[in-house]
Parts: sequence; C-alpha cells; structure tokens
Amino acid sequence: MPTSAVASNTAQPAATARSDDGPPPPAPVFLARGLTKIYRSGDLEVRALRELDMELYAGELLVLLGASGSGKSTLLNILGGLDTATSGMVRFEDHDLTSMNQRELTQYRRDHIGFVFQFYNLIPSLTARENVALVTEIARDPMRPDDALALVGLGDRMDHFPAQLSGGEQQRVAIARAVAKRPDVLLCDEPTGALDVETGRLVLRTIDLVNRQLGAATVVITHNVSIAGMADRVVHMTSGRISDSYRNAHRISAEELSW
Amino acid sequence: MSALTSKLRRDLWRIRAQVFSIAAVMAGGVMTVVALGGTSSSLDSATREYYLSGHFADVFATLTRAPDAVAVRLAAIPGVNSVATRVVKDVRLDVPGLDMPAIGRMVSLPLPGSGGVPLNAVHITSGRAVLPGADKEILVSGRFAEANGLRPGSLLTAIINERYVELRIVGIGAAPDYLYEEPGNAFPSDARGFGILWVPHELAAAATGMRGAFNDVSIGLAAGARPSEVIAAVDTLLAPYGGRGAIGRKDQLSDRVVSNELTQLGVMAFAFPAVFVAVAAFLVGSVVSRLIATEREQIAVLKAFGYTSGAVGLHYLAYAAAAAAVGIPLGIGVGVWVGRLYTGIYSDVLRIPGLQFHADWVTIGRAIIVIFLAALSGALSAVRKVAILPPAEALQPPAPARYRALPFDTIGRRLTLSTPVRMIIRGLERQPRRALLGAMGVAAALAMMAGALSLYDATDNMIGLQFRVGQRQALSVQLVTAVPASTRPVFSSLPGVTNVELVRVVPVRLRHMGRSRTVGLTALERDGKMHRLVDVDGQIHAIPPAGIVLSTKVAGILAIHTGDTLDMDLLERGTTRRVVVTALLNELMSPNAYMDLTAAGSLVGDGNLINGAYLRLDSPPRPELFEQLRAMPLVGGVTSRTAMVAQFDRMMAKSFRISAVVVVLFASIIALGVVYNGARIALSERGRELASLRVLGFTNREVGVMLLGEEAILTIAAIPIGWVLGRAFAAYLTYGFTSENYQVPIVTRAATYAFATAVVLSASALAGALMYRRSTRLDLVAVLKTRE
Repeated sequence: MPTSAVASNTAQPAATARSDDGPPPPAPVFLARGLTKIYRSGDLEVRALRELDMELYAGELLVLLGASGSGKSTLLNILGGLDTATSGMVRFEDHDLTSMNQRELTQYRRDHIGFVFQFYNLIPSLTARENVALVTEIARDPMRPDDALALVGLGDRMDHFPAQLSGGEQQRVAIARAVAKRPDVLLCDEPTGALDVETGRLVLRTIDLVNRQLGAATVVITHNVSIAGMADRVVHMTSGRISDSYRNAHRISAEELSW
Repeated sequence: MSALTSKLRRDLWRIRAQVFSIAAVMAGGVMTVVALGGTSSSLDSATREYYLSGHFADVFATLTRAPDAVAVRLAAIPGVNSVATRVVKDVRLDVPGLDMPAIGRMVSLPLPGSGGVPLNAVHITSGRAVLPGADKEILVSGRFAEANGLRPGSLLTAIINERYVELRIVGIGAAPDYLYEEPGNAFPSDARGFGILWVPHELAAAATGMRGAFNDVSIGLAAGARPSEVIAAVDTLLAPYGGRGAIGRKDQLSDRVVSNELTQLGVMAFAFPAVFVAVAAFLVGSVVSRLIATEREQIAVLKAFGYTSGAVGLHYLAYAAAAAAVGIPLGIGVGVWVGRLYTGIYSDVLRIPGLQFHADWVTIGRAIIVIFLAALSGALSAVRKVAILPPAEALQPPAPARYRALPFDTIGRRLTLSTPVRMIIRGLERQPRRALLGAMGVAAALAMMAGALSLYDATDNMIGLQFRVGQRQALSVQLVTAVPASTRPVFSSLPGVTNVELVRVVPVRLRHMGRSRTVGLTALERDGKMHRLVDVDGQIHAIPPAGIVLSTKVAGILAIHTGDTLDMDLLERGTTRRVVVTALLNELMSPNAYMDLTAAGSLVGDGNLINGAYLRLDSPPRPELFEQLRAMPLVGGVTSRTAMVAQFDRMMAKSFRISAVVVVLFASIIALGVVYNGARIALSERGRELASLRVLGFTNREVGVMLLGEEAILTIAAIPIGWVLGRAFAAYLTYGFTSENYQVPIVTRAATYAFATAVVLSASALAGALMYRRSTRLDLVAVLKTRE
C-alpha cells in the first residue's frame, strides 16, 4: 500500500504537533495525568505505573515499547477499561475512566474499544465469520462481518473454524473482529508475539491498513523495537514511566520492517 | 509427606466444592444402602430371632371343632415335630375410654404344664404372665394396648356367652403369629377396635363351649419335612372337623405382611443406591477427566522425571477416593438416622420384640464396596488416559478443539440463530456423550424423586379405591352369629343411621380341577351403595343376580374362567355346592369371592341370613349410637372405616414426611452436583474464551448465558426424560409392593411430577447461580497474556 495515498489521514495527528503558533490542538482521545498503579500482594508492593502522563490522538498509530515489567501492559489494560488506576486521572474523550464501575467499563469496551491479543483468543466453536459476528451483534454501528474479513484479506476463509486457520490467519480474524464494530480505539497487545517474521509482518500490515482506512486511534504494544518505524509516534516505557517519546517523520510500511 | 501427596492435598482443597458435591452424591448412595438395607436386615434378623425363640409354627389350620384326641393323630403325621392346639374366637369388648364396641381375638394360652414345644409362644413386653388358675387374667397385644392407653392393671369387659365378663390385663404381649395385628377378614379394622387377647385356656374353652376340644392348630415341622405334604395330610385329617384348609407360613397373614415388607425393602435397597452409584460414577469420571486435561503438562513432567504411570494414575484415583472417604462416613451417619426413623415406623405396625435398627457390618461393608466401585469405575477410564499418555506428547499443548459445521448449522442458518446460541448448540453437539450423561444425571434426580413420591400417590390411590370408592360405610358391624335378614330394622332404627346394608361372610373352600383355595365369600346386597365391587381402575361392577364373582387372582389359582362351574365347600356346614363363575374382578386386594346376598342364602340353603351390617350415618357417630350397639349382645364388634382410613393416613403421612425430606434432599444433591460440576467444568474449559468475550465488551449476563446455556438446555431436556424414567422407577418400586394379595397400580399425578420438577429446576438454578457468580470474577487481564 503506497503511504502517500493515506497521507491525508496521517496529516491530522501531524498537524496536532504542539506548536505555539499553530491552531489550538484538538482534544485527545485519551488523556492521562499522574497515572499510578500499585499492585499489592501481602507486604509486597509493585509500582507498575508511576505518575504517568500521556495523550493519544484520533487516528494516531502509537507504538508502545518497553521491556518486560516496564508497565506497558498495565497502561494498555487501564486504557482498555480492564483495570483501574490506583491514583491519577485518565479520560477517554469526555468520559472519566477512573470513576467508572465495572458495568460502565464493560459498556465502554463494548462501544469504543477493539482488542487484539497476543494469542488471538478466538472462540474455537465459531467460524471466522461467526467470531466477527459475535461482536457485530452487540455493536451500535458495525460493519458487516464479511466486509471486516475482506478488509483483513480473509474473504475466502470466512467459514473456517479457528483450528482450520494458520496463526497469522487467526490473528487477522482477531483484527477483523476488533475493527468490525468501528471502534474509536484499537488496542493491540503484542500482536505478533506468537508469530514468525513473515506472518507477523502481514499482521502488522493489516493493523496499519485498518488504522489508515478506519482512522481508529491505535496502540500497539511490543518489545520489538523494529516495529517502531510504522508508528506516527513512539513511546518508550521504563519502570512505569515514559522514558522517551518521539514522532516519526514518516511512517514506513510494514513490508519495510525487518527484525 | 511426599510431594505428590502435598499436590493432592492442595488440589483437593482448591476443588473442594466439586469434591464435596461428589461426596454428597456418594453419601446418598451409602445412606440408601445403610438406611434401607439396614432396616431390611434389622427387620429380617429380629423376625428370624423372634420366630426361633418364640417357636413360630410352620403350618396353621383352623377348623370348626375337633376333640383334643385329634391332636395326637396330627402329631403322628410324618414330618410333624410338634402340635399345639388352641381355641381362638373373636369376642366383643368394651374398652374403657372407647365408645365403640371393639373386637378382641381371644387366643387360648397353653394349659400350664402341658409340655411340648411352646409354639407361637407369647412374649411379655411389660407386666407379667397369667398366673396359673387365675381365669380372669389376660395379656393383650401391644398396638391395641397403646392405641387405647391400656396397661397392666387395666380392666376390659368382654361379652362371653352373652354375659359381661370383666378381665384384668396383667401384661402386654407379643407373639410370632400376630406380629401384624389385623383380623384378616372382610372387615377393616383400626388399632383401637381390634386386639389380640391371650387368655387362660379354661376361659376360652368355657366361652366357646370347647372344653376338651380345639378349633385352631399350629404345627412345627421336623427338619427336612415338606410343608405341602404335611398340609395335605392335615387337611385330610381335619376335613371331618370342619377344617378350613391348612396353610404354610407364606400364607399366614402376619408372616406374609412381614415378607412383603422385606421384599419391598429389598427392591428399594437395590433401586435407590443404583441411581446414586450411576450418578457418582459419572461425576467422578467427568471431574477427574477434566483435572487430567488441565494437568497434561504436569503429568508429562512427572513422567519425564521418572514417575511411573501407575504412581501418576494412583494420584488421580486418589481424588475419587477422597470424595468417597468424605461421602462414606457422611452417608453412614445419615443412613443410620434415617434407618432408625424407618424402623420406628415398622415397629409401630409390626410388633416384633427386639426390633431395633442396627447397621450391621455386612450392610456397611456393602455400602463401602459399592461406593468405591462407583468411584473407581468412574475414574478408571480417565486415569487410563494418564497411563498411556507419552511424556513428550503431553508436553505439547493439546491439539486445539476441533469444531466443524454440524448438521444443525444448516437448520441454524435458516433459523438465523444468534451467535451465542450457536456457540451453545455447537458445544452440545461436540460432546454428545457428555451432554447425554449430564442430562441423564439430572433426569435421574427427577426420576428418583418422582418415582419415590409416586409410591405414596399409588398407596393413596389404593386406599382411595378400596375405602372411598369400594367401601363407603361409616361403620361396619360384625355379628356374633348369623341372623335373618329381617333384623334390618334393628340397625336402621339406631340413632343417626340413614342407611343400612346387610352382608354375610361365609368361609368357603373353592375347588376346581384339583386346585383349591379357601376364602371368605362375601355376600352383598345387589343394589348396595356402601360396599361395591371396584376394580383396579376404579370401575364399579354390579353383582350378578346369580353365580359367583371371583378376584382374578383366585381365578388364576383355580385355573377357572367365566362360565365354568366350581365346587364350593361350606366350611361351617361340611357340605358342598356347585356354583357358576359369572364374572371376574381384577381388584386391588384379593383373594375374594362375592355373591348376591339372596342368591348366597338360597345356595347355602339356610334362608336369608346375615352376619354383618354396614351403616351410613347422618353425622359423626353419636355416643348414644355406640351405647345402643354396645347394649346389643348380637353385635360382635364395630369398626369405623373413617377411623381406619385416618389411622392409615396418619401412618402414611409420617412415613411420607421422612421419605419426602430424604428424597428431596438427595435428589437436590444429585441435580446440584450434576449441574454444578457440568458448569464448573465448562468454566474451566472455556474460562479463557469467556474472559476474552468480557474483554470484547460482553456483559457478565451475556457471558453467563453462554456459560450456563448448555446446562440450561440439558436441564430442560432432562425433564421429560426424568418424567419417563420416574414412571419406570415408580413401576419398578410398585412391582416390589405387589404380592399375591395385593396389587398397587402406578399413579402418575401431575402435582407430584410438577413438584419434583420444581425441586430439580431449583437445585439446577442454584448450581447455575453459584457458577454465574464465579464467572463474574474471571481474570480479564490474565487472558490477554496466557496461552491456552
């Protein structure tokens, strides 16, 4: 896919780069301030996030890098409404996630978030189409499952069960399932962690594609630094803090990635 | 403690709810074996011991009258070991505190120093024996004494030879031939209205004019003697003396009741444990299988480190053994408790000295073996998989669950089922055997409850047919002698009496083609409304104007059909008549023979005589009615059908309460155990899948539906199966209650089945609720990072 074709999409986050003389920055999709997460187990206290501040803007593709235990999964879980912060504030658009109860968090995930997991987590008893339909049946404005699968290049494998699909195909079904509801945010936790290089690249290309075509703000967690090139913005985490954050001058396509 | 033992200990604690639910089902099995088997063996051994110590006779005969010298000839019959002659006669009693005249069966005690084997010896449970020479001292039977509040020292008035005689009760007794205190004639009795009186020989002989004679004989057989040969010889010998036909133990009323009870207990002691054992085996199998599936990698590691297949297999068998180890003592405890309650009911009805519930070691041992076999058979196939699992393969994750499009999908697509529903149906289709067994487990709970409770419906129906449809008199009056039917106004003029029907009961022996049967021929008024001929289906049959109506059972014994002619020996007159069988009656309680009263009078040839009357009253009986009946020397006794039915109902209600509590409790345990474990296993297998759905935005409720949908469908599918099995179970149980004299039609009452269904559904719903709560606590974060 030629990157120039979707330049207009990526122009928006680029335009939001803070400058004193530009137009006022648009409200971010996510806004986190002073986010702290402490896991307590007996006397043991683990500070997974320490006073973290961050934003995510509409349509942006953000790659979150960090070693194991750096806090990136904790951050993703809080953004995705799976976990709550110990202190600090995190807002999604005009919703305060920190004040939501379990029921509201479920509704939030249902309406706004698409998840892609490292191990796909497809329902083995459902075909590819049905796995997607599972989500579109409860979504407010979904695409047709067939369209979502066509988008990830699986138009001809729709009636296959997970056990009949390769790992990469399963992950692309998972992506189709995540995007079929037209989520505002797509959260991918190590989406290539269980895949070989070639298949991983195909999956990343799919994520890149849906980000560009659907404009969903996308966060990809990885410990694979090579993936950073496809991002609009790259955030490094170390010990529960953002240790580095930079914007790529231009996103490179997934095919060009190598590791 | 070995490492494996530590693992076992901790894992057992982790899955304690499942282990306990299995243990509870096992406890149910042990409970039924101990309670029913223990009651049965207690009843059996107490009866045997008492038969031995009380010298229960082997052959019994009643006759009109024979001189004492005949006893010597009876003793000379080959195979006869001992002979005891008695005088037996029903007399009218006035019991203090009882307004109704009661019937006392006067049984003569042996003459002091008469020697020989004291057949049917009276055992004194309280008070003392009758002193030699004290001719007004008597012993009375326990049930009668208790019902009337009689104790040693109480006085009774008997009408003997038309004179009021005051008798002093000196002791309460029991005898092996009257464990069951019922008159055994056509008149129903209640506990207050009928009792056994053991009286000094002199008194009985004087009362009946039988000095130097007897009308009842008991015979003890020598070892190896054949009862049938002795019976034939006795019949021949007693024929000239109005012998009514000798019978062996199996036809003796009291023994027959005891053996019927033992047969019933035997049937139940097999049927109930079988249900529990089957369910326990299924639960053990499914839980251990699941455990092994989740621990494949651990098993592989153990094997890789050199543990033998046997050691690992034993480790998993130990889970089943642990459930058994909890269930067995629990079951024994509850079983002993329930057994005591059941035995208590039996000892109200059957007066067997020394009858106490004791769970003998054989019964307990049998229960333990049965449950261990259930546990083993359930776990064995799962554990076998452990043994044959090669370590290298076990280290690999199991092949992903393979689903394929199933026949249902074609239909499903047309029905446009929602995706969650499709998931539920595919889950069922994928494991049809497990689904079927699960449904059968729930069905078994329902069937057990419906079947057991139906037994009470059947009994209730039987009593209803017999005493609400068939016999509807308020009071039955037995006369001491036959009188002309013209006596009717004597009864119709009694206070409160609105209707009178006359009856005559004639002891006869029916003979046909070399077969014979002694019965009481009941002669009734043809257009009578109180005592009607009713068949098992509740149909009323008219009495034909001529000929005899036989119970189908009697007809079977005599190999006779409608239209055939039989010989009828009139046992009180020593003559024979020929009579045509005009109809057969398939009735609940047999054997019986019926005739029209007038036809019977002409056949017997003594005019229109009666020896009983049925009375219908305008209100509950008034004291002056009983006063007048008591003042009539003609009246031998009065029994209240209402009192009898009430007494029976009370006894059934007591038994029902115990059984209902026990059966509801254990059926709930079964349903709960099956559904809980089914859902628990589903949660364990699909926890990750369900957590993923929660992450994707499905609510707890939606995920709950997907988790519990399978169990809900299985439970609902189980209900009609449970109804069918329940009916079969009831049929099997009532089969145990059917005897030569008794048949118990199965009754299917909607209310009972609805109740059983409601209990099973509630238990299943409770299990579902427990599992739903657990499903709401799924760890959503963990599923993102774990591989299946």
